[in-house]
Amino acid sequence: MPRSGFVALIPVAPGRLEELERVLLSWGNDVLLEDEGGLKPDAFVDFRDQQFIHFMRFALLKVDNEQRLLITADFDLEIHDFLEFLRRKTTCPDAIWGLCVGWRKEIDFSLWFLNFVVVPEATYIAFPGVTLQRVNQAVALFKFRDEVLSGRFSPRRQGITEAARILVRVDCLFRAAFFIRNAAKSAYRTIGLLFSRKLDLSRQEMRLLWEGGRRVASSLNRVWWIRAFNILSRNPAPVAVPIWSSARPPFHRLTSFAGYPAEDSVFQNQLTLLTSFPAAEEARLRGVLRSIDLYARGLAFPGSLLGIATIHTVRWTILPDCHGVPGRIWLLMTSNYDGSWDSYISEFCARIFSGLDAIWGCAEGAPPAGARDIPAFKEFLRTRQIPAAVFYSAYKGGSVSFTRMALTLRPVNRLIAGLVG
Amino acid sequence: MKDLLSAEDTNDIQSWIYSGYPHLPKSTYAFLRIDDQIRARQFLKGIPWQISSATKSRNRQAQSHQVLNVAFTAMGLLALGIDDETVEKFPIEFQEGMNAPHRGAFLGDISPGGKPDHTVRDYAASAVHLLFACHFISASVRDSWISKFQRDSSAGGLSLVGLELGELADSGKEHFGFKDGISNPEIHGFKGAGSATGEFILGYPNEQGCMPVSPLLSPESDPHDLLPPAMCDNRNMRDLGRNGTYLVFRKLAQDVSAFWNFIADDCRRRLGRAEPADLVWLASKLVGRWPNGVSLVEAPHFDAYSEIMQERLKAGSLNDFTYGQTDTSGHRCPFAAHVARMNPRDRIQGLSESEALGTTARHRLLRRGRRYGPELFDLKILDTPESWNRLQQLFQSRPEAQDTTRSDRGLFFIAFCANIREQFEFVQRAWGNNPHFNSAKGSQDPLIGTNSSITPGRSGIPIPDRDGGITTGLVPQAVSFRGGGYFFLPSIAAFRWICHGK
Repeated sequence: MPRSGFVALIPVAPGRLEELERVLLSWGNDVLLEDEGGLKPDAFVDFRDQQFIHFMRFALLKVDNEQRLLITADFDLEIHDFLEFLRRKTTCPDAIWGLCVGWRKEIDFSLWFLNFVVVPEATYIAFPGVTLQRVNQAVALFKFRDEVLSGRFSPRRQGITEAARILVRVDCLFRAAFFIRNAAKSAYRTIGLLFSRKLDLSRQEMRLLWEGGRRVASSLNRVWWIRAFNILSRNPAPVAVPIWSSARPPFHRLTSFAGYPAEDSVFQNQLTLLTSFPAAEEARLRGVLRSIDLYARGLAFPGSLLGIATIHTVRWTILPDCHGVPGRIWLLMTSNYDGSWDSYISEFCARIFSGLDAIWGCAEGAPPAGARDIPAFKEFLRTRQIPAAVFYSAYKGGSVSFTRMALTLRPVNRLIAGLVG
Repeated sequence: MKDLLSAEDTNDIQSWIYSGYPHLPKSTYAFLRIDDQIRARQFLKGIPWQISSATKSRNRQAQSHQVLNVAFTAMGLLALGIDDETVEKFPIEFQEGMNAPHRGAFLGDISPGGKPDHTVRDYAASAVHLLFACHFISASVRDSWISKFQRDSSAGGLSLVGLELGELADSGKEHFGFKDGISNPEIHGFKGAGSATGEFILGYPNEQGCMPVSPLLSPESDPHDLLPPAMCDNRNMRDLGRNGTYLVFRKLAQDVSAFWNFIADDCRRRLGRAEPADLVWLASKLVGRWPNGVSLVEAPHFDAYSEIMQERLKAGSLNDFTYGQTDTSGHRCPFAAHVARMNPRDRIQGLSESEALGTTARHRLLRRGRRYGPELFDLKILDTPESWNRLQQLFQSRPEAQDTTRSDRGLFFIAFCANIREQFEFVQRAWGNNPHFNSAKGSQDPLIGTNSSITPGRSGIPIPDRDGGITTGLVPQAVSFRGGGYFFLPSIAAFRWICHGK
């Protein structure tokens, strides 16, 4: 089964926003703890009942006075099959789709829905091609290995525990095999991308792609091959001149995002960010995003985007058909990540600030000093963040780094499981 | 970006930032409310010459028998007649204070639903305007200062809201019996090495090359020309924050019986016995250091006479270690141990060693804590295995009345940082209370975590070893927050400006 996902923006019928919001909020949310309204089992998609949705979210956006329902999903199906699943599962379609523009019972749901699916400019998936079932199996095997090693599993069969302990000592071999396999895959994918038709770019687009890539790379000297690239292409790191933080009164309350009091107590978190840009920046922005996309599809290693190992998925989408204010474009970022918002943003700001600046440097309201000015940048993001009305995560107990470890050691853990029989 | 501070600047910085006054074991923290603005201003105008500067502290001959430092809350600045516009230039966390309900929830002091998990009874946030912190060489000097200060301050239009007495034990131990305050960053501006000055003192670039948020005023606001000009691209402005910093004060009560009884119970539950060595081993695993302060990374097994322990204790170099090379898997010092959460050094999951060091450097705190209350038992017995039996006698059975004195004891957590949100609040929330930080597997900080009902599904502390390791039972709330606040510790020049007003 292939792994895919989508970003859909469905216009909400005029005057029906509040009703829709009420319906969505009644399903609960995985960013909340159970006693505060965690995702309910009787939500309109019964998430317990399936083995193929990684993440899903519903949020309500306001873009240039137009209300839209944002739906993003990551799943192990063809999009048509997923939409068919969604249609079947919707017990009362009128209660949700009926509040959106253009929905009628008679029309084909998939065809209607596909009208609103937008193609992201850049996509990163931590484990592309790995199904949820495989992840769950790897995690279960890893937990089983812990059981065996602790001797709790079969106290009478000490021999097995001892054998497992010997196998664990050669973990490094399996890590090396994982590395080599993925390095080969990356190289293969990159070569494939370079010669594919997707890269049939005009001169202008090539130039923008090159410039975007250079900007993103300039603060990434810690990665050896990017350092080599920076030296060869004379791409120096941005000079850190002391600057004043542009965080200025009135300060926003940044403590925790409205509605998410327990934002740090959940395993997975989500970020929906809607930022606006002058339309003149569109070509440049597309160049930057395409360079990120190219990296994510080609060179990126499983579970690590430029060394940041907390992201499950991230998508950047330039919203089409937003003509409310001429001369302005909207960039939507949707991401699913591990742990606390604070750490997530701090990590980004500290480690790939040139990348963040390449994307948001000329966004409306971005701090003049860019992402290096962490307080101001966090304020910029928080004030543009959109709460998810519904958020579902299948990775209840697994961070990206844990999942990567479980997948890396899956072969050895299978051997251990085989020993036990 | 990383220059030494000029003599002028060190003269302007309150000495508390430079030193924790190890030679002055007694301290008092007087929390005051301003009742009469005009009299209070007059009283405070006489204070700056009493405040000790970093230069004085550096020059050992000039060390006196008592040292005074003063800090303000945002309410205090308003009560002194500083206008709203100026106070609003301070960071929001300072303006709101530690006890604002949503901030309490954020820090874990109150559960998200607003149910108070701790009794924040000691000080109501709005009532405290000023903190007078004074350190003394002896209790008698302290007593005479207190009685004089009480007279003077009430004559000066101030009323005393609370008076706390702190002390620094000879052993340097907190009440659970572990050496405290070991890991403190050096400030580059003072020592020529260590963290960027702007991580701890306002008006200088921090590790990111960014100036921390500091209230900048127009020259007209400073007619007496008291304030220094702002640095970098704001030279036409006056910097009220420069050479000052933010002070985080938290009174944390420690329930010593609950802590050691939990340790004894947990040993008994898993091993069926509670040998003294097991007790010390488990407690040290939760803390991340042995009771004498030596890191578990450097000495994975306790041997008071081993070379490494003797060497570390003699040289006083208890802080010169990293996790990376020796302890990537947490087999020596668990990921979830208190010190590994508060200062993960070069070991943060998903980051390389150098990246983790960089991340840690941006979230450090300059600690000046002191403890209060009498010791429950002789804490020195923890340092030598021969006397560990005593511990077993103390906590082997579980009579609730072990703590017959029922004394209040604990510590004053006092920390300086240039950015409360990115330093204190970040460490408290994203590292201490975060159940998913660094393989914490659902646990929170064993000592300062909000080990209460806030996080459903939370678990005990995982202690990994080569064979999979163990997980302790649920840690009780042995440390509880009793009250505190965010203060602005101004430079001496800024103090003068505050007293003079515009």
